[in-house]
Amino acid sequence: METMLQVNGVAKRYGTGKQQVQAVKQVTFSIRRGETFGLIGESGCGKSTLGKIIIGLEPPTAGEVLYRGEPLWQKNRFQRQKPGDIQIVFQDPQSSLDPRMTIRDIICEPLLALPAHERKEKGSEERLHNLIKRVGLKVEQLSRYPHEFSGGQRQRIAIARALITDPQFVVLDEPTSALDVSVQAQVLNLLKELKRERNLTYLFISHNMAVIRYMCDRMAVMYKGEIVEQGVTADIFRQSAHPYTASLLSSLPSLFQQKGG
Amino acid sequence: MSVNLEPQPATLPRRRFNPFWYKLKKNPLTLLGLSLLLILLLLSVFAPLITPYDPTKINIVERFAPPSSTHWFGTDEVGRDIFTRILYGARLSLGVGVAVVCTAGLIGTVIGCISGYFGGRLDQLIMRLMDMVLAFPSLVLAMALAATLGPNLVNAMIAIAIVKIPVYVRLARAEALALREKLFVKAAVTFGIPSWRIILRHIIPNAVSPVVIQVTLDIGDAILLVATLGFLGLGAQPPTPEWGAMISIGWKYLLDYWWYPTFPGLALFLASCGFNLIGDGIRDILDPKANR
Repeated sequence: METMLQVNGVAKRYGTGKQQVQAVKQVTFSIRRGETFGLIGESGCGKSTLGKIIIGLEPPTAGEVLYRGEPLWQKNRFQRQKPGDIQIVFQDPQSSLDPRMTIRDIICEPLLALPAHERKEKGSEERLHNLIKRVGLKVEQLSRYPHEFSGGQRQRIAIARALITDPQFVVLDEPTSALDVSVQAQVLNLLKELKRERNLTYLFISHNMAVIRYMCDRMAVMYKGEIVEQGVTADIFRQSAHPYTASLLSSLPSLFQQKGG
Repeated sequence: MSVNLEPQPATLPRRRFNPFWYKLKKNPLTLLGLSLLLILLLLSVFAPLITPYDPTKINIVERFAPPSSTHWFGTDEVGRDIFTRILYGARLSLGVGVAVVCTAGLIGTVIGCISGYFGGRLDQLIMRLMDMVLAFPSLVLAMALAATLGPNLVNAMIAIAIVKIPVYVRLARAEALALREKLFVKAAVTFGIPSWRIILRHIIPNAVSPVVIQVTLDIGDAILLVATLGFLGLGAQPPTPEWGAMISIGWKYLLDYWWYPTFPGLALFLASCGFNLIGDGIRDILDPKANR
């Protein structure tokens, strides 16, 4: 299977002198086309920093990130080979939508980065309406403002915004951790369906083992800036090699064991 | 026990038919401010129909006449009708105040947002420049600028606008610094949207509220500054009816002829009040979260 994203020995250091923090150390993994790759770890382990490096918000201090064989970062400059091809859905839907913009403007915003002919083609009213209905919102809601929506609905808006440019690769940075449990399941199912329909590749960042197991084909476990274990999700859940993974797994509440015991 | 069944209206009221008016109606103080200014504006526009006097014509016989039925607000040291001069002066003073502060606010917002958004060296450079301007007492700097540019009203306005800019720069910068870290701005960066567009679409609209409030608070101050410059011979020249000039000259006669500075002062007070109330209202209207 074709490799979509290759992360080679990436490191990220914040600060200078004595106050340096090594957020990410020598991380290497690759994501294949069409799969969902999970990145799991506790708060502060560097998983979101890695997401930021891939999406272009933070340059790595060492190593390289290859997207379809081309480096994404060259001399601390982000190389956007094809605008709109990599998109992100952030964790907090409260602050990821501009409170002064209507839903229509918010969803169409990524199109502004595209060349004019592509913008016209992808920004058609029909496409927008199909997309908004697909993520479970109504066309009438396009003229409303973000504060009129619930957390789950906002995350649907953020998903629509990420998909308007027809991306190949989407980074999901804890997309459901700010939502309550019943809404989480709806959003996860929506993400799964969209992936199948649009042939997407996901990098799914989360601290929730259950969510990772539900969503991901392969996964990597991060601990203190390093990847301690990676492989097929099912294998890791069956038999974890690293003690940290084991402790993460034991944090997973198991309904059946409780009943049996 | 009976259940009172109210008949439902046949059609539900349409939501957000006009959010602007809806919000305005919910805010009676804004309406008050708006009507105050509207009345002042109408009075000044229709001044020739309302008073029979000429605002600049000297009438020594009736100098320092107290308020009466012929001269409602009395007359000044050369016998000009103060009511007439207030009406005609509103044309100049209100226009000048609004123009100066809006110019300063607009320029200050743009500079402040750029400074706060980019940060780093550019931010340092801009802020030190603003500190330099702020270090001078505003009147002294405005006088120096107006004197350098040449003594007339337009130059006085430019001078005051320059003096006022740093306040708005600081306000807008503080907002921009906070906004830069917001996820929706980061999201826009990840889409590959150029910085100028992010500043225009996200930073400025979200940073503008405190600036608008400050603008409305500053209008009265700006009118007085223009007047002070005029008094020093650097702004509107003497026979021109202008509130600030009337206040600063009339102030000397306060004890003997109380009506001379009082009525222009009252007019300025009402106008500032009106602007402040409108400022509050604008903030609510600009904020999509308020009052729904």
